[in-house]
Amino acid sequence: MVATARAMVTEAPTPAPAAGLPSPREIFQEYGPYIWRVLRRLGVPESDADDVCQEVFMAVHKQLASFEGRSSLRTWLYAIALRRASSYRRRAHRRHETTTATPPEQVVEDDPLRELEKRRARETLDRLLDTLDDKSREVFVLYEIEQLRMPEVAEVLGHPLQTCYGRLRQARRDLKAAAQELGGRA
Amino acid sequence: MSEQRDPARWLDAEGQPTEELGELGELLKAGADELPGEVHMEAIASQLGPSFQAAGATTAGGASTGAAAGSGAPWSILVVTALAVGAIAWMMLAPEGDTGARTGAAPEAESAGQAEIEIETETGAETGAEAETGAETETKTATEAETETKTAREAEVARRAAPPNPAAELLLLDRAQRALGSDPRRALAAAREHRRRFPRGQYVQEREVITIEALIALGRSARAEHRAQRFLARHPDSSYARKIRKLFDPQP
Repeated sequence: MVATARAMVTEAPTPAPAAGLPSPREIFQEYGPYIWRVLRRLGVPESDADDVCQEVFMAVHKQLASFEGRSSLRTWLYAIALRRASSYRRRAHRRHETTTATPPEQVVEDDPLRELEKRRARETLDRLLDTLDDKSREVFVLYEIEQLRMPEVAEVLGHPLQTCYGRLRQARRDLKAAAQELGGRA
Repeated sequence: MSEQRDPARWLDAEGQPTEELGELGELLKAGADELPGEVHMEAIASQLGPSFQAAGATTAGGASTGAAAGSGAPWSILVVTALAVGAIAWMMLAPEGDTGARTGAAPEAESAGQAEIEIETETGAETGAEAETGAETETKTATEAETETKTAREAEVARRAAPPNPAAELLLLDRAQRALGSDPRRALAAAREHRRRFPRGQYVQEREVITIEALIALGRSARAEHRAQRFLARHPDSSYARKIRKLFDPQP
């Protein structure tokens, strides 16, 4: 499990957000679900996604007062999330952890069978995404899942725009090949 | 500028695969669908401390002054701001010259939202399924619909336990509304996110109007008309009915 510092957060003084910025609560409400989703698609298993999501917003809490608006709030948040996901993957790799821990309780859709199908589909998708190199995966997830525009993707990653286009093409090629291979084995 | 250079996405604004991706498209759709609901997010917020929690948790409408000390924005102010945004959004939605509708904007929008909740409870299965699959529900048998209604009602009970979050709803719809003119795909995506996060929210009618307008802007007139007819059948007395009719019959 990911170590959390919940007590620290509870006790930490609340830095006032810079003028004109939304409060941590507002940011959490607006962006929280998307941050959680991007963590999942970047390789954080469901069992740890809540904890890593908390880490992201702890960082937001600490850094919001110094946010200077040189990037949009959205891209700033995604950049924090990507760093946390990357850090998580490194930690998990060191621990040689698998990603099959028991998932936390989730809101289940109206149709349990449909939800089960979706869950299986996500597991397969994540296995395919695992075949990509980290940089291509990040570009692909931000562009195709999070629906950022490519200049925003470049801003989040701090990479040249053309590099991001190239990584998206590479990711698409690799994913199609991996999906075909998976289909062939099935 | 950059929009033209960006390659076509694999998922369209409604989360449907846009290319012949086969199973990969379905996998991608499932991955994009995985958004935690309000209850789940509130559970995370509860671990993050008071800066991330709703002031008074269930007393958002109580407008207790200073209750959100430390958050930087008292909840009461947030709600008022959000409602103002909602009123602005609503006024933007109203057709030009529709002064009668404009004068009653906020109250009508609220009561319309409440009516929607009641109607959707009665037809919960259909509404919930349509949110995902559009026309699929038209082919359902009565038995299937009945079974799903039961399931949906059970889900409804769980959903109603979640605290209402009109501010977050309006922020999302405001984003959708603002995108309508310049980027209807993004507007449609935001409306879809609203549907997923707030399936029984207070502003489902507003969401549907935005969805219809976005579909028209994208040239998907058949789908837009289908949704419009469904909306008018369900909400013939809605304050948005006139606007929707005008979308398809601009002549006075």
